[in-house]
Amino acid sequence: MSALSSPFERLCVRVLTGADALANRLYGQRYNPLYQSGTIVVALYLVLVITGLWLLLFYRVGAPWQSVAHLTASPWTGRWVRGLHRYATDLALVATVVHAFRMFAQGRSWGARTLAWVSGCVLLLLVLLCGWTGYVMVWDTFGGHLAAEGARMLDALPILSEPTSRAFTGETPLPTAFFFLNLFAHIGLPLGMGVVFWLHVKRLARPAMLPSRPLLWAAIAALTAAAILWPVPMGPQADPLRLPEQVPADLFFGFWIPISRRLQGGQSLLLAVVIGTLLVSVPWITARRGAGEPPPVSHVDEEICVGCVQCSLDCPYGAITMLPRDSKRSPLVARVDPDLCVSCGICSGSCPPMGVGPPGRTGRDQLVRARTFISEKKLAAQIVAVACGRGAGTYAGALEKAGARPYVVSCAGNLHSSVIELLLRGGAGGVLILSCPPRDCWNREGPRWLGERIYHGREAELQERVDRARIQVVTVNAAERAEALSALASFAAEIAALEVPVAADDEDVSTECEPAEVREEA
Amino acid sequence: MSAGRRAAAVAAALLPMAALVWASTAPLTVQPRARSLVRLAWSARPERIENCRPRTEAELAQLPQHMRQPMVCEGQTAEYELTVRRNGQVVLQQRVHGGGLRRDRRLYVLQEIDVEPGSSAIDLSFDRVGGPSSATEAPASRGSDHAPPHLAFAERFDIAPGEVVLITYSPQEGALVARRPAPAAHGR
Repeated sequence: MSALSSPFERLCVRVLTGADALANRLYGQRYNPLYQSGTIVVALYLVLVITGLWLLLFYRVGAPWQSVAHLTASPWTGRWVRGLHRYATDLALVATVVHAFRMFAQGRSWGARTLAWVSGCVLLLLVLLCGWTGYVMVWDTFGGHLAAEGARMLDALPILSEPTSRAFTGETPLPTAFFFLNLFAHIGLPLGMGVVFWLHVKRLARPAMLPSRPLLWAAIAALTAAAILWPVPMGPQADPLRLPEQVPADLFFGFWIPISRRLQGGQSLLLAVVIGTLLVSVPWITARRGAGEPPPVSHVDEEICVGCVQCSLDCPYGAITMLPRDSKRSPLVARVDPDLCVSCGICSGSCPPMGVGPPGRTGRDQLVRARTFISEKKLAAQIVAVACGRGAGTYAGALEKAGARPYVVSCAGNLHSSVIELLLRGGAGGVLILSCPPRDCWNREGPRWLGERIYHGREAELQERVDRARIQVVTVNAAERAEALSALASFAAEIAALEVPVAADDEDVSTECEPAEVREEA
Repeated sequence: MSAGRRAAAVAAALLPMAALVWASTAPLTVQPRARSLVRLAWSARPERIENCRPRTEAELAQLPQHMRQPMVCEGQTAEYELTVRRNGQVVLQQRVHGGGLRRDRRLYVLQEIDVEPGSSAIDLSFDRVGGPSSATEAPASRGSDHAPPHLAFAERFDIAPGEVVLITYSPQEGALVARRPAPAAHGR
């Protein structure tokens, strides 16, 4: 885990986890919209495409304002669809910002994730441009202002012999070609967004595309209700020879107008470029976050690898591929692409013979650490609380005060199942695994694979002989201390009620997972 | 989920939704109160001032046969001085030249002058700087879209708050003309 160096970054994490905890309390982890902000944007993109196609049927480039005014006057087929289109755009922008904030606060914006961050910034720009062209399409006073301000910025670039602002002076009526080009951009930009979105998720295995279905329909229903109850206004037609004091605006897309009105066109453009550059530079600004060096990528011990492909299947970033090799051990061997590996360590928990993982965090390293822990803590039927370092691990002291023996790991998804067994054999009364919520895992799929390894026989599975009654997985985040302590208390009560004692330590856990020939060689 | 928690969840969803609707439809103040403008906007081709003289026989003899043009012309595009007076006070004075690096492309004027709403006497002149200094120097070309050597405009306006008075060049009339806003169309 990379250290969070600056107070600002720590503040961001605190704000995020606090908001997450509140939303978890209200909606539960499964339907927490903050966890699904990225997928909500995708869902809203689809809503925008569908409503946009409908609105396009009624739009006329020769009479833009008149056609939209006519559409808005129609309560059944136009007004609410236009409202839904606008509110979905606004919510998409908000969700995009929330998603970016989450990635920044969680330090998921650099290294191998740089491409995702940069492409995300481009997507944000395209969303803004798309909204901009959409409002210009309407050609009410707000659209006119957006167009005039955009032209003022464009004129700062010495690339045109005549300023584009002249188009909006009122000398001549705006040509239909302008609205046609604007419409073309409004349709073309979302197509471009599709390509950039592909880049955005390119380095993810199994990217989640849509939010959970109830959340998806709830969001659409809420937006539709808002569109019906509060129809979006239709301002007067843009007139370059009038200066309205106020325009019916959308602050999400027009918040910058009061600032830019006070600046020269070039200054506004420069400000936008500086802010954009800062955003794009986040991966380089925040890289290494005080850790000195980037976390080491996973490596494969080819002497141990049995070519089972499990690490390749589990890697959330598609960083592990299986290559053929000429060896008696196995026809395949795992190979980690250091450019794609984010050092999440999920592969450590997926490897039955414990031959893969970041240095110091492989299954074998975990067993060594667990043995040291057992000998130091001298477990006597206490609960061992295995806590995710970014989640429950932040209040390990509180867990200890509550009677548990905290065992902090970098990610619960890294945890090798043999460590759980070893802890129980080493004298733990039970193992309470405090993992991050599934949609909030900093390593994407940790809780998912952890659950499957413990309860559904996924490699490297927890052996059947291990008493599941002495294991519990609870998902809490860094701000859910009370929930974690409550879960600990109830688990402790359950363990106390168990009559069967903990099994004796009669087998070498460190090698039992390995194939027979490996044990012989050892 | 308890009824209380459900109510809190609904309220927590409604609150940001209401904020979203408000921010999506809130009026935005884009102009200071009672601002009015006189906007000058036009474009025209600047005159080209050429100085032509006939070549001497000796000069022609030195040239290859296919290059023996009897007249040789050197010239430049004209520059203009724009002066705007409001109620007798000079509020803008600017040298206007053609676009492009050689300043031989179309010239444009785009200026906005803040004025107090009310009565304003606007006096504007747009004069070529220099010009033919001798009998041999003369405008080489003057089409309908060329700026004339001298333009003048003088008119008193009663400008309403938020109104823009556009003063532009009409090639058809060969003069500067004013345009005022049409009655506004309002949406439903």
